[in-house]
Amino acid sequence: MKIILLLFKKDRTEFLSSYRGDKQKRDVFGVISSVFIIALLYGTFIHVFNNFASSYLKQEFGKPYAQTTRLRDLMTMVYFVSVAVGIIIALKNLYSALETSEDFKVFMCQPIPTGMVLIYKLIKTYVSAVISSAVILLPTSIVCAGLSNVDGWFFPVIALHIILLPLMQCAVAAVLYYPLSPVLRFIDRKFVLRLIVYIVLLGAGFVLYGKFLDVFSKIVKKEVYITNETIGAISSVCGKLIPFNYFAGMLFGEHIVLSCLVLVAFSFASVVSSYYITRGMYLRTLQRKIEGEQIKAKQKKIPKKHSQTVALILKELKIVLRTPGYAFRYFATAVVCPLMVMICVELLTSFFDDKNAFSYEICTFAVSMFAVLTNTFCTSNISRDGQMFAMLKTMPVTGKKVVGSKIIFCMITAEVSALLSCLVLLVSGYMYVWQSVLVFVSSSVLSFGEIALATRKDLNKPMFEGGDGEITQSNSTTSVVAFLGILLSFVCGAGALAISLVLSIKYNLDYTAVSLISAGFVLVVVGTFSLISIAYLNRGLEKQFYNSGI
Amino acid sequence: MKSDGRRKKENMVKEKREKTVEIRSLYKKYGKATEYAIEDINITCFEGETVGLLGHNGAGKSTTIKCLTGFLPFEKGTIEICGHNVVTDPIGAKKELGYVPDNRAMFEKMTGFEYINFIADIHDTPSEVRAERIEEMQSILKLGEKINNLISTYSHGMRQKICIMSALIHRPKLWLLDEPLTGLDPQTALALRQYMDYYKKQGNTVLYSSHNLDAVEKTCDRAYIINHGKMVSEFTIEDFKRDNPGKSLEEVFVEQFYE
Repeated sequence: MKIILLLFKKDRTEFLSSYRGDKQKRDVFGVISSVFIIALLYGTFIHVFNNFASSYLKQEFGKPYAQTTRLRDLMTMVYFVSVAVGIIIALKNLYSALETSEDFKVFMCQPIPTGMVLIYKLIKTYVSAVISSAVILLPTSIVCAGLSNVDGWFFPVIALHIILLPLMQCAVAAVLYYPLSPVLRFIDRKFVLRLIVYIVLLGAGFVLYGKFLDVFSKIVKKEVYITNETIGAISSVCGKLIPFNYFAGMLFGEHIVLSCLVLVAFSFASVVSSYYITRGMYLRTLQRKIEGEQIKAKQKKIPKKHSQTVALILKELKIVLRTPGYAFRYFATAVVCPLMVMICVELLTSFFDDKNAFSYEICTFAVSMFAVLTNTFCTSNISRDGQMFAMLKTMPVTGKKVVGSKIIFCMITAEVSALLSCLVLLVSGYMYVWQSVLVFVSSSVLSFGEIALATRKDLNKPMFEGGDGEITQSNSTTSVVAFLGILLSFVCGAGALAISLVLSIKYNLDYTAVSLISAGFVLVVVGTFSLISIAYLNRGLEKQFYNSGI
Repeated sequence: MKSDGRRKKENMVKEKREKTVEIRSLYKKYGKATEYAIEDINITCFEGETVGLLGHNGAGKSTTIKCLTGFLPFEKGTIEICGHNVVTDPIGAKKELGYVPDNRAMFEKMTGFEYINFIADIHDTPSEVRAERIEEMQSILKLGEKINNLISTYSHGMRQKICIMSALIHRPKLWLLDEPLTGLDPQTALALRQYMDYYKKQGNTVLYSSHNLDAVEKTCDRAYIINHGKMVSEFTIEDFKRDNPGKSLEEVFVEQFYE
């Protein structure tokens, strides 16, 4: 027990040390904005659920109904989502704790029993599952309790479920991990396949998010979206969702004593099975890692000679593609960006009676904003090189070439993403061809300015950290660049919209003229920003390159 | 060390051997420190010789090497590699340099093979010669098929081998190594020392910093000793052996600097 507490104390020390470092590198603005965004999203989720629950529980359709039945169906769906999310989170945490974690290199040299380390990792997995359950179950149950009359059992059973259901989630995750871990390991080694999986998962996530936003917009516009058929379908599905309807039934005191005993018994069995299932896998994983994985790589031929710039760009590509965190945060996000742009444009245009009235301005804003958010990855352009940045200084290559190759690499990614976004909007009928070209050009100019600014800021204050070289924390550079980029997107979008309104209403100009003048405004704004960024990038570049990374 | 290498240097100048390294009056201070980390360092190396750089931990060896490679800026002095000033003509100087660092820093998401070819591209090495050179170094360092695996999977010794291979792919005039034998098995260490000897005989210069005085004594022609940031001795191994019969370099070094 003492050892487990020591291991948790180590985690606390590591967590706090990231906030005790160089004050200049602390990302206060980033932390505050992350908290704000999470609070905003969470608040939106609760608001949507409240509205949905209210409509679901109170719709009558001229027929009598039992509110308890509807409430049970609602909580069945909530339990289904909560448990599914919990299993996914537990599976992800098990994989990183058992497979990708390198802490065994320290532990195996210390008098720490492997069983204790495994229990410590399982407790961490359990705690993350409890947090995810609490995040979903607590607000939804409070909303439901507020909308209808619930028994005295309701909240004690919710509390019991928050504590005990994660144990079963961990057991299910452990059972699933057994056949999945070789598949996950295989995908991990195939970088392009891994990127495709990330893109598919991220895309699916955004499609679901798009549906959520669709419901949200209907709520805002006070449209009816719950019909008799919807309620019937939900009721039919919930009847088949065993054991989630069983958990929901407990909330209403159904066979409460027997149910609690069964739940406790299953929880105990889950704890024991989780330990023994993962123990075998953990020991095999440790053995494999200690012996060194014998992966037979293909013999390669000598490639043709590349120029220094091309060699540096290919180097960037390999580092990003082969680092899971980077591939997800950059490439997958850049590829899914058009989907995010599409959802955003659909949502914003739905607030106008005539969807095409201001679609060009909205498209300008959406494409720019999501390009800016994707490009924040470039704030680690220098830091990603780690100790090799210093080695590059010992090679016959100028600072301009090193930095320039990074900018070119980021611009290629930005251009592909922006091109896909504009094509999607063009095909969906939100813009004409000439408008798509203007949006693409303005987005490209903005991206270039942002990437140049981000790279130079990172060169001024690089953060060469991370045990395996991967940058996992953002610093103040990321927040500043993201804030500036979003601000510019708003200025471009809102400015273009304001100009369109004034020109079309006050001066009665035709649509083409209005769009061209708006585009001109946007190009002046982003062009000015880019010129300032280029000047900032080039100021004393070689000297800063020579003095960096010491 | 009582002998000095001036006579040997004078002979080299007479033989019209080209200077590959010339460090004159080098001074380097870190940050806002009042004292210099290294002061008045003077090192000259000629083609066709192996030179050792010795000193205790924190003496200033790595600082000197980092100034030489262009990694660290410095306050005073000049450094030239094959006649190219590292400050005014850094590209020209670094083209002549192959550096094996003590921290084995490499791009870990590349395979060993990709990394060597990346360095070859940076140094503009033609594709036609790369296969032959990699094959030659494989015969000495014996990395085998693992050259095609990711560097992140490599052991310490394998990383060292890739560092050495990548430092020589472009056949630099100056081969600079910082603690090159650390992490190598005895067979590979011997093979490397033999290769260093062969490399210098091709008319190149090998300059290396090491704590392994036994290896320095066996491999080097001349050596410099830095003590607390200052150059205190310069000697040829030949003269040392003559002046200190029956004593090893290690014994004399410890006597003079640690007792």
